[in-house]
Amino acid sequence: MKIFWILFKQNIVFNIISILSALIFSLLILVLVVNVHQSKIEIDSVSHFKDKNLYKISDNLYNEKETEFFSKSDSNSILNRFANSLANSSEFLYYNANWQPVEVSAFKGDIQFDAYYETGNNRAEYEYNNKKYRNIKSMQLSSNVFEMNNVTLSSGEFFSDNDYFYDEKREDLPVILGSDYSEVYKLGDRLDILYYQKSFTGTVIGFLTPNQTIMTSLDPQLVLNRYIVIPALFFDQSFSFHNEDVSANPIFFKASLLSRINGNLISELSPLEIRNSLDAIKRTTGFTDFSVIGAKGTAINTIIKMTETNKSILYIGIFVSFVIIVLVSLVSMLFATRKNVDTYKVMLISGSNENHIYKIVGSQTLLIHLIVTIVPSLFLFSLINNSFDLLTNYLSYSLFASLFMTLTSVIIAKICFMKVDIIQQLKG
Amino acid sequence: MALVCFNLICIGLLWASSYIDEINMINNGYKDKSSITFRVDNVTKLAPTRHKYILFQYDPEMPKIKHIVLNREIKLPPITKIIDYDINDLNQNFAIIGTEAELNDVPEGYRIIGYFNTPNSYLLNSEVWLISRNFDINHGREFTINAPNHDEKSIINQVFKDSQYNMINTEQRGSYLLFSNRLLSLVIQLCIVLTFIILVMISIVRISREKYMIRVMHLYGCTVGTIFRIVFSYILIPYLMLSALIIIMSLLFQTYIHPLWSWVWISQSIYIFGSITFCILIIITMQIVTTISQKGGKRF
Repeated sequence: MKIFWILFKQNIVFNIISILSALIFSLLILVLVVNVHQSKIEIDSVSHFKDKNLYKISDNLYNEKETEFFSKSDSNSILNRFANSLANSSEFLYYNANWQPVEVSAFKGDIQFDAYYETGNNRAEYEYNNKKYRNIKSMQLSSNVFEMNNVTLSSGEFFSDNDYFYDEKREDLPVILGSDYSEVYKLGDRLDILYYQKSFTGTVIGFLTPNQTIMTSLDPQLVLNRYIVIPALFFDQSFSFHNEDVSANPIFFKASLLSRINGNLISELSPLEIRNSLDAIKRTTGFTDFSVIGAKGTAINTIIKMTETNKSILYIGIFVSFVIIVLVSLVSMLFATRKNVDTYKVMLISGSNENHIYKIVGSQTLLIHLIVTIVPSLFLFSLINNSFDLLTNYLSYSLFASLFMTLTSVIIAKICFMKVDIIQQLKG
Repeated sequence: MALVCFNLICIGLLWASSYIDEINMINNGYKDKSSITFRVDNVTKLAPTRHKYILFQYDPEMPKIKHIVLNREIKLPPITKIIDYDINDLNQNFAIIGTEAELNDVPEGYRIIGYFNTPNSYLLNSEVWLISRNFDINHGREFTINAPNHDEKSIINQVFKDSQYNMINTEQRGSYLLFSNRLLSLVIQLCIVLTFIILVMISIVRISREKYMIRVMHLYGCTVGTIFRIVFSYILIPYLMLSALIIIMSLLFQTYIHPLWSWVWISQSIYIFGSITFCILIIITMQIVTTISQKGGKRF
């Protein structure tokens, strides 16, 4: 250790620069490891939609048809049966990502969270039940939307299975907030929400990581940063639509059921096969007033292509960067070794041999690279969730890189010594 | 020589960074990360300016139909032309559309001259760009401005100087949203920092070799100014000349071989070369001061 300190003191500025460059080298390895990992996640996320057809169900209940359908006493039950049959089908995946603003009273966020901010049609705050409400962006998502799009949280937890079920007189609603809310609300905060004119107490149970996107039929890359995400509620098969709650909140039940049936079907089946499969559901549930339309499959395919192209660019970039990093580190090592040749000569005079000096050079490189690895490891451990696998990966790559640099430093030292006529120099 | 090699690496990295930015911009509907979106309710005409820019005017209810204003020569996204037409000749109204765009969205009086050749941009693939000489506020009250020199704010102040505008904080789309893509930019920036450090190290090593020469000159009786001038002339001048050559080659590359949307990579290269020159000057000064102040030297 003492010899390292002596070598360090020989040229403090130069050695500090060497340590700095080793630190950047180690940070770069971290970024490269994280990037390869992230790219796999992104490809995995879009691969769920690859080679699949996307269909959208659209109800035909408008004007007289709507009035006629909802005049039946069992209209809600029919819609519910239809929705549950879609969700339970094994022939396709039923995917609910419903864009529907919610009203929030005493909302703390700024104007960009308003539902129509981007289109310049913001609605004024309004009063309801002596409370002032604002229209805020919100998405109602089924559990498979999170899985299909690999949505991740920066803190908190996802909705539990029970959160998607609506019980009679339910008043609480768990909410997950987009990353832009991280400075506005905190976990456990309560929000007074009006959802389809029914009052709920929302509890913040999680925050999304920045730039989480989901595929929807309206927007193939919907960014959730400014959204309040709530579960797409559904009603159990045994749920009775003849109770006080339903009579008190008819709009909530009607709108919830309609939004539930206007979902997407994701499947490898052709349009004809999908139609056959839906005909069977039509017959068993008795709901026929809907049509199936092909959703924005081309846009989704473009996003898949974009992500794959990005991966290729990324790998080329990583390869080129790695070559540059190794090249730069080798040059820095060469300079550091050359700078210390005078000191090594003194060591030779003092009775050391060349092998001992090579060992010192190698150990010094290994020590510097191992020490600087601590900083990115701590960074990785503290900032990225569930990073144990990533940390193991990083440490193994770092160890490999450190050994490679150690070996290279010894070879460089040998080349430096070969060029110097040591005997002549020692003679003076 | 090593200095020049690392200068080349540095400028290559800056170019790569601009190239990735351009890909992201195309995937984001040809909106750069520095673009500004704003709303203007009352404007009759756009004030002239010498700055280069592309202005998108649209109705937020129909954002896929965009009226385009091009100021001076602006690089457009890749287009497969179906009619050979000079885009800068604005005597006729013309349209460029995405491969998935609705033909019905092209108004009468506009000639389709080509399709966007942007297979990875779902936004451009569904857009209709209408380019004409006439500016009309009824085409839409929402605007997005993009400038290759990233001076959007000052352009808005000049072009819309008589109008009130409200900024809209929009979110980026396309590959800008991919975390891996942002990390790649970080990798490139870290590589640039690392290259800069190495450039400083090379300068220190290169100049430290001159300490014997400096001492000889000092012992010979040269003044500090003379020593500085001599060392400056044979270390810095070749570096400056080769750097200038690299910049000229970059300018030719940008103009004739592979033009990128932004010239920022060249201005950043000049800035980095300038910083290295400044570092070399400091290192030369420090080397001269430390060498001539060492004991044992005697000035005759």
